[in-house]
Amino acid sequence: MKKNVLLCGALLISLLLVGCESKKEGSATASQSSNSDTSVAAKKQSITYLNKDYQVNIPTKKIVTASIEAMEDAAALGVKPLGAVTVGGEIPHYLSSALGSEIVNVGDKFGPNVEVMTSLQPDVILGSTKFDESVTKNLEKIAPTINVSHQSSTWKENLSLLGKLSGKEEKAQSLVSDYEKELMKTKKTHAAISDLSVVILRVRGGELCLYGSQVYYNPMLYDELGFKKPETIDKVKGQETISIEQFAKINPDIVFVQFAADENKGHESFIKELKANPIWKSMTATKKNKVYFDVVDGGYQGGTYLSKAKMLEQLNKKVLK
Amino acid sequence: MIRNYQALLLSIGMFIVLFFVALKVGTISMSISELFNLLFFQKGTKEASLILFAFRLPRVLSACLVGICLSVSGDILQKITRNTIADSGILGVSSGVAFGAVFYFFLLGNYQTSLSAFQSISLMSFGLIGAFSALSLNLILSISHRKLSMFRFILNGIGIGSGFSALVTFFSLKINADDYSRVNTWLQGSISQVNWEKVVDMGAWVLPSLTLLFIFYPKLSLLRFSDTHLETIGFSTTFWRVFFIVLAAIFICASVLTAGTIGFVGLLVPALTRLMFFKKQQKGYLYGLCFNGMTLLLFCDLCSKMLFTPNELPLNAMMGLLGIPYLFYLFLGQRKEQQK
Repeated sequence: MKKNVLLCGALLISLLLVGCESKKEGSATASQSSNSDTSVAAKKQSITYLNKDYQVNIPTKKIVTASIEAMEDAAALGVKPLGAVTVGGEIPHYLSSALGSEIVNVGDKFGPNVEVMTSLQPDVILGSTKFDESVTKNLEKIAPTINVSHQSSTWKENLSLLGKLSGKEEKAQSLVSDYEKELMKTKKTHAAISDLSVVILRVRGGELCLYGSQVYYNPMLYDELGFKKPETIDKVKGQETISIEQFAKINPDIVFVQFAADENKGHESFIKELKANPIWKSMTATKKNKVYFDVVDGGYQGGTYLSKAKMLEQLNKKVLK
Repeated sequence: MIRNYQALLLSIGMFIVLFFVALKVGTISMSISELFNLLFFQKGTKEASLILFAFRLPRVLSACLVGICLSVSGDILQKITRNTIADSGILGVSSGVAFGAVFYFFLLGNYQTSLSAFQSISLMSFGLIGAFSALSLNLILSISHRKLSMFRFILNGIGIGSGFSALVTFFSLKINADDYSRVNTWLQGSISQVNWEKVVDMGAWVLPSLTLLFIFYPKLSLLRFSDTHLETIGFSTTFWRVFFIVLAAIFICASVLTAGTIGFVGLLVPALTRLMFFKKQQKGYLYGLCFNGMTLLLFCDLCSKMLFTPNELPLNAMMGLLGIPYLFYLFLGQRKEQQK
């Protein structure tokens, strides 16, 4: 018995040692690729974002986007970050082609991998205001870390922040003004918008989630476009789950249902079941065929330039014909 | 039969090897010479020293502390309840601590990870209150005719554990929907984001308690005898029981607050150490327990960071992978004994 214990111990240790040797190669290539573009000359400059000052080398190509919002902005501006976070082990597919195939996975969006980040030697890290303080503190040791706000109202600031960092400030400005022009045009051509009540739902973990008036796509739908806002929305703090029965009581004219597969592992057939639900079928929007599933990809964060522009395009194409 | 000191040397040897492996291996691997140059002569690239000293070393140390806490508290609970399947997870104590902590964040209004000294002390006290309420609720429910029914004790523990987990979910959703997933990540057990402050914070609770435990360990061993025997030699069973329960609660609390609820450690480590050590009541056994606990947690943490790099597996899930086969082994062993 005792000998067995000894043997097991020895085996375990040898197993471990074998395990660590094989990992070496992948990391070596990662550090090499990051060394190659150190030649960009840049000076430390002060940059202000949401009333906070940061000292960053700008303009720089060595950016790590550690929040989905920043990744959407990067995709919109055509910036190719060194690394980005993943959801469920993968970069959201609606972003992966725009961000390039060389991008390094720096870990999960709630707990980025600090070792990979360090090896990338970034000049700046774009974090998320959803981070724990301990995560931010660790990231600050690696490089100046700017936590990008996840509030929808700061979308312009977010875009211009990345514009400044990457030296594409003009492009950021022109994107914003293009969007605003397009928005005005849509409002003019569809004056009846203010009589249509609309609700956007997101399915998370197999539950319908309703959002508060300042979260997700809601500021765009209600404040910018001027759709009618059901009263319930004002009572929602951030994000709340809602049952189909409760939702049927709101009974809006148009319903958007957003479903991202990686947020709903184990609930793949949710949409099918929802469509078959008799209460769901009895709603006005369903009867008038005004329920839109994934009008834009379910992964979009809602409060970024890319999310908004995509939504506006789809609204004009599919909903407000 | 291997002797106690041989077993201890084996434990220490395994620990030292794993400690250095844990420092060497990571998502970014270092060569052995690089590691030693950094550790002893502070020579190396800026990135390498940042990875080692700011990220890897605190992580390894907190894995060690969590390992000590869970295995030592498992041993205390097992000796006090005279039952080898007692464990902070099974008895519902961990969930009690988690509930206390989440309730504190609920009162505070939001979930945050960097706390002032006053806040971290009050967080600790809420955790302790949670631990005690879970444990005393269990004791009240399990004592019938002034005798503790072991079978009930375990079953009640499992029930109380799930009850408190449900309350944790309820209150973490009450705080803020955004915080829910953060609380969840914490409770699932992750030490990937620890820093030196947290290690010092945790050490400040664990090391004094550990010293106390080492000083009074012989008393704990005495508790295995029946109460009537102990009373005749003038041994105050109630006092020492409460004393050790408080120690166990502090250990569990410190570990849950840093690394979330991690099950099975308190079950596995004492059992494995018992296999190695011949004399189970001596301090050598306690040393062995500490070293093996550290080794196991280091091993688990290594697996949890290496299996799906750069993404991580929660520690609790990793521990379950190791712990559940052991539970089956226990059941099979019992069945064989019954057949004889």
